[in-house]
Amino acid sequence: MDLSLLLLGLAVGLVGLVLAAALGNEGRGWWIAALAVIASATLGRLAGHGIVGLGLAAASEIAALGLVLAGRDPAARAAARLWAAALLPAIVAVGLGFALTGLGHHRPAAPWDGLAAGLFVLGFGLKLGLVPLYFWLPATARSASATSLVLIFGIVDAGVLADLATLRDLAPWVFVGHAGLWGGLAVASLLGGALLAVAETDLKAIVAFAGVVDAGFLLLGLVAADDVARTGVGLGILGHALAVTAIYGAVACGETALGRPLTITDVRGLAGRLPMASGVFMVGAAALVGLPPSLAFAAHWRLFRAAAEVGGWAMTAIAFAAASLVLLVMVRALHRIWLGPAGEEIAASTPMPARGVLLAVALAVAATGLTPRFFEPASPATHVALAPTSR
Amino acid sequence: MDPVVLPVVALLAGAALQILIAPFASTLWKGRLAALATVGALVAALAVLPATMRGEVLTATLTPVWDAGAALALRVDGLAMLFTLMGTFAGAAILTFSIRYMEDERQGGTRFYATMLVFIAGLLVLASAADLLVAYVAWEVIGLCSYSLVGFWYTQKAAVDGARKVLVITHVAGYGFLVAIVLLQLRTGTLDWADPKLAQGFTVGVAALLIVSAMAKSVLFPLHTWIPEAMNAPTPVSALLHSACYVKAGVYLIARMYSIGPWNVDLGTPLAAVAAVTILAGVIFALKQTDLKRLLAFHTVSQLGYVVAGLAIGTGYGVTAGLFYCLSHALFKGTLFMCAGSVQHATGTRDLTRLGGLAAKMPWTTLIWVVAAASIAGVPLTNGFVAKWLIFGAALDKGLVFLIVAGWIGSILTAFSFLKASVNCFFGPMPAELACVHVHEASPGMLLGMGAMAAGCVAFGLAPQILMDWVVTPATHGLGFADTVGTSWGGVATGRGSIGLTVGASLVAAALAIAWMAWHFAAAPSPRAVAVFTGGEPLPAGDRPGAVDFAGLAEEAFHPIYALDPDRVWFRLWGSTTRLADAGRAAVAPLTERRPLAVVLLSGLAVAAAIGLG
Repeated sequence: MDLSLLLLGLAVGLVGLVLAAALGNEGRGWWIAALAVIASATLGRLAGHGIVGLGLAAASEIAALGLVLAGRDPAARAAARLWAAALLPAIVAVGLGFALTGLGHHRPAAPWDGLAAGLFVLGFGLKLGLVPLYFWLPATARSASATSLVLIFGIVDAGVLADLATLRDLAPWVFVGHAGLWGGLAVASLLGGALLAVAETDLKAIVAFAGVVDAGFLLLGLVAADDVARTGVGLGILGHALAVTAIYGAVACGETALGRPLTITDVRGLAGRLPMASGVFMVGAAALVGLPPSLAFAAHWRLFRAAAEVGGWAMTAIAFAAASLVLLVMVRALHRIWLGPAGEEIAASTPMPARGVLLAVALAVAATGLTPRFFEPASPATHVALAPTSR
Repeated sequence: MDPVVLPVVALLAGAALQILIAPFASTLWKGRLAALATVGALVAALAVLPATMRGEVLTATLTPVWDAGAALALRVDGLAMLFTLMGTFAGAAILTFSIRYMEDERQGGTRFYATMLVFIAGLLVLASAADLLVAYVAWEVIGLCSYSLVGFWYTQKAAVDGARKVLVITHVAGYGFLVAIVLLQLRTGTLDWADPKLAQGFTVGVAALLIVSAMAKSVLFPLHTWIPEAMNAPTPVSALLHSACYVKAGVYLIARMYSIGPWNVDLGTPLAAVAAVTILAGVIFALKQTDLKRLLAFHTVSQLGYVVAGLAIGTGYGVTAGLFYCLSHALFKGTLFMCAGSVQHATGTRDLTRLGGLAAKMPWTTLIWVVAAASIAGVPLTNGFVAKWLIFGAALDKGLVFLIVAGWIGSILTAFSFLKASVNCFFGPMPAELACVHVHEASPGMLLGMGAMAAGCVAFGLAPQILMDWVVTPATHGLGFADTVGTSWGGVATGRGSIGLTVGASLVAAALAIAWMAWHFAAAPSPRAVAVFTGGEPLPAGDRPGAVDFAGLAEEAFHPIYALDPDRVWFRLWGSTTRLADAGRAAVAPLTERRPLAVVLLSGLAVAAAIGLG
């Protein structure tokens, strides 16, 4: 999966940069932050799991703050502060967790193993904006440009999820031994994320909360103890990154054309003037919801299976409810903002380079969905510490 | 290339060609090429028919690498061949009709034809899928195609609202299919339809989930409310998807369940009850419609009730009847929709209150409509008569009296409804505003498509044994039933001389007679008969109740039933959810979004407590 993630990160980075150049919305500060995010994330993937890799991943996350700060207005600065208030403790928590466990290779004796698990729950919960630790998410999603969110959710978030999946491979005891805790976090994120998306009106925030639901599904896959679930997590990370890249890329074109954020309350019928962007949004939304053909679907059915395995009929019903709500929310957004009669005249259309890159992303969503076998993660590392080892 | 995959490949190649020629070809040529691709697929399918008639099961691989360690494989048995022939034949006829119908569309020609071809390919893959996962992918792909086609005119509110409803109802219910798949995989470790291990996990709960999914796709009550809204799509879409093919996806799923194992008796009777309610609800709602396509849409609901009733009966006879009805319905309903499209194309309207007297200007369309309407009403010598006869016979055989009563009442009302629609649309005087319009007969291409389907209605009414022996019986045998229902010329049963069949035929004939009598007695008396009592003055013009009169009568008679609209339940549910979400967010936001430190501390305490207690 590391190679897939590496290539995905580079591809998403390229998409973000081309979009920014074509739409011409971003200043110098943004470009510096964007290049820093892409470079550190790429180098982190290349370095692999270790102190250097984790350090570079943290650098990528911190550099992403610069993408939000590049907005320069007070709301952007406030959002960046809020995100920093979540991110910095999260980096410390995860770092301490890895330190206690020898980068995941050892299980310390009690109570240190419990402390490590708790630090991982809090740290990753804060990084991913899981419920109830999502306080930074809506403000960041609303304030950052859609192009920034392509990089934040398509690269940084994917990297965090990949680190979580690596932790699962190295230290399954963190999840298996505390299945109730991770399961509770998953349920809270599934239902809470879905309801928060229903209550939201800003399109970027709606998609961000839908991403929280996706993270909830991935947590179920991490808790389930078999290869099918593990494959689901790997495919889900890739599928989610592709889906949000398509969605936020389309939103970026819509925002540029309209000159303001897209909300379900006052924007109507953009598809008439931006057919390409609306088509790509539709493809991305379908993938986010888990419709085939997409990698997200290949993940989705495995994660539904994980839900049944972890929590029987009750967890399956929760998964169904969450998935249905996300579908309804995305359909509502699609039909209010993109389809139907146009609400107002739009002066600008999507520049050709932006259209090209959006089309490429949409094709990638479909093409990878037709060949999910090629993207299945390889077998986990052989060294897995299940029992406590003395330190 | 393996002949089994040829039909699918022909269609997908046709779709790819549409994209390649998009900048160069006119909509007319795109239509011709699309129709050609479908004809090619039909020919390829017919080449495989002899093997399935012999009871052979053919397998092939579409792509060697796909998902879950498996290839994307096809397995074509009798049931798969039935749906393949239905999809390709209906597709060829309807796309032929589309060539002229859609030629004036300046934009979206590529999108239209490519999506139609992908849809037909998706239906073929669904019917031929070797495993549940491939079937589900195809299930969702045809759902997305339907969404795209219903919302073809995506800047029009009515069209996109209809598309949204299609997607939401069918996809949310479709999660039942997904959950059933994962439960089966979890319990048995397999997803292969033909693996005997699958039967071990095939519980009542799993079957119920599959049936709920099927109900939404096949417009069974109360998951049928999307279909009238879908009538804002172009008519070829309504003809192919919402009468001939898309709505049959659920029928396929229900039928395919028989190949896993025998049904639990707890399922068949409830499903038959749902079918009975659907028969009645569909036709009662159809009675009050004055929009020709909405009228046909509600009749689709009712007719699907008959099809599923046959499958729910659970015997070989019942399944045979259901599958024969499935094919017959595709023929006559597809024809009716194309005729409605022809009328709209010629007159600019499909409102029955503004139509009339079209027979003089559109004689061929009228003839084709009358054939198809006779078929749906169950007039002898049409395939619809044979289909109804078989359904009643199968229900009598099993002793399901409620199904017979519902089916019989449904037949009377269906015949009545089509008498009304036929007379109001094609006969009587032409309204003044329509007389100013240049009403013209459909083009030869459109007539060819309509005529081919109507010819099928007559051909398989006169010689149903062709359809029965070549297509339906191999399908039923492939599902594990040993029964062979023999039919002969005109639908006369052979080999099953039971009283049930005679009674079944009598019920159909009686329904037609009652409908005709009701129509006849509803007419005002002729002027000559009442001249004495009106002082010799003729009665006012309009000696027959019009469409609006019938709609009003129906509204009065069935008002309590019209109040039972399932959509209110769904809207109330969504409204409650949004209110809950808004209230929940308002309640927790002061803490979770504005006091981050408190949130982190509280979460930390909760985590510590959970770990400590664990």
